[in-house]
Amino acid sequence: MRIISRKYQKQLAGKKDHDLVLLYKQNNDPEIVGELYNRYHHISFGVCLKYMKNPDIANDTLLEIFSTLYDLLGKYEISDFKNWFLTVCRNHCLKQLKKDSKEASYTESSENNAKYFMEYESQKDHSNTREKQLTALEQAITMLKPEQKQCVELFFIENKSYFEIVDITKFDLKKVKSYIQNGKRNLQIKMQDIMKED
Amino acid sequence: MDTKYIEENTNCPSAKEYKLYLNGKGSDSFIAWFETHLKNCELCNEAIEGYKLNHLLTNKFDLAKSVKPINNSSLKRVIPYAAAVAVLFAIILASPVKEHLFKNNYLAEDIFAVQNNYNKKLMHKSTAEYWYISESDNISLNDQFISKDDIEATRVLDSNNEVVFVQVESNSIETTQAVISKIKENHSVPVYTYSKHKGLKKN
Repeated sequence: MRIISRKYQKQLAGKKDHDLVLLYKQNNDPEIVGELYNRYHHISFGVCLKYMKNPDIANDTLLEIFSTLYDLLGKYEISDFKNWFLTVCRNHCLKQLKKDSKEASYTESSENNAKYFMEYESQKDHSNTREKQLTALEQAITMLKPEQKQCVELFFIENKSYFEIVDITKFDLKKVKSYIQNGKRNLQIKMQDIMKED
Repeated sequence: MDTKYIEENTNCPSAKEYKLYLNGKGSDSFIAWFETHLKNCELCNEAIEGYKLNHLLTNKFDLAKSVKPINNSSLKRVIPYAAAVAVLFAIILASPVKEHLFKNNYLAEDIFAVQNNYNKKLMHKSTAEYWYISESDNISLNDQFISKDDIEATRVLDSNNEVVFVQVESNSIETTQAVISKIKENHSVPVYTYSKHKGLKKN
């Protein structure tokens, strides 16, 4: 059981990333990685989601990444923590994807092995659901009103910001927000209908 | 909220702010601040990219489950306690409340179900701390062994914690009272004790 001192936690919370890294190099205190986790777990989860495409897998990957930080923080000279951390996240995800694709091809060749077969089936289920969702999304998006369709595509698929969409479409910001929110809601309803029909 | 975003804020947005942004909520100055941050922060830019498609498909802002990673040094520190935990575990297995010891949050009605409405006021209280003093005076918090020297400095930080439960199997009233008074000193919420020994119940 870790002995928790609130004062110490508050001190850590008040420090900049760079100072936390330097402090960790001095004392290897796992609580410092805990503080970095508090600051960045939701952000690194988004990065993992970008690469792994599945929230459960992204969550596992995220935990693995933070586990590797205990060693990595001591090993490297880190001048810009955020950029360095992004590289760590990307590399870990790509390594994981490579590993998964190797395992998948191995699994295909050993389908008689019950354990691997079950894992492969569960992976297939995940990707099948995702495939179905994406197909439904493609169909549903064509059913939206033109303004909603344009704004939803720009924001969610082309990763444009609200202000970029204002520039592109010449709608005002309130309209853009409203088209995106209403479009998203309509899309959900239409996607559910399409998936039910299937 | 507005003034915060007019001021220069170089920190990355919190999970709450990510959710606001993805849901198109928040003021114009909030959105302006968020997007200026995205332009300058590659990490957040990639994260938002990751969230967007998932958010569109599920209409949820999925977050990482609130589990912190376990590190090797923590594991190494735990190893010396393993033997003691094994002994405690054997005692726990013989106790009527064993299944509850593996949860992080406990309800009085679960813990004291066998005690015939031990305390009706307590029945719907929940706690993040469930202390256990075994027959051989071993002490555990939730399912983790605690050394007697660490009792005063140990607590679970949880804003939802309403009470602290202490289940006592120890025959030594003196030891038990000493432990309970240490726990009480360290907590602002009520500490409820259950013991089969009447003398302890009164305390």
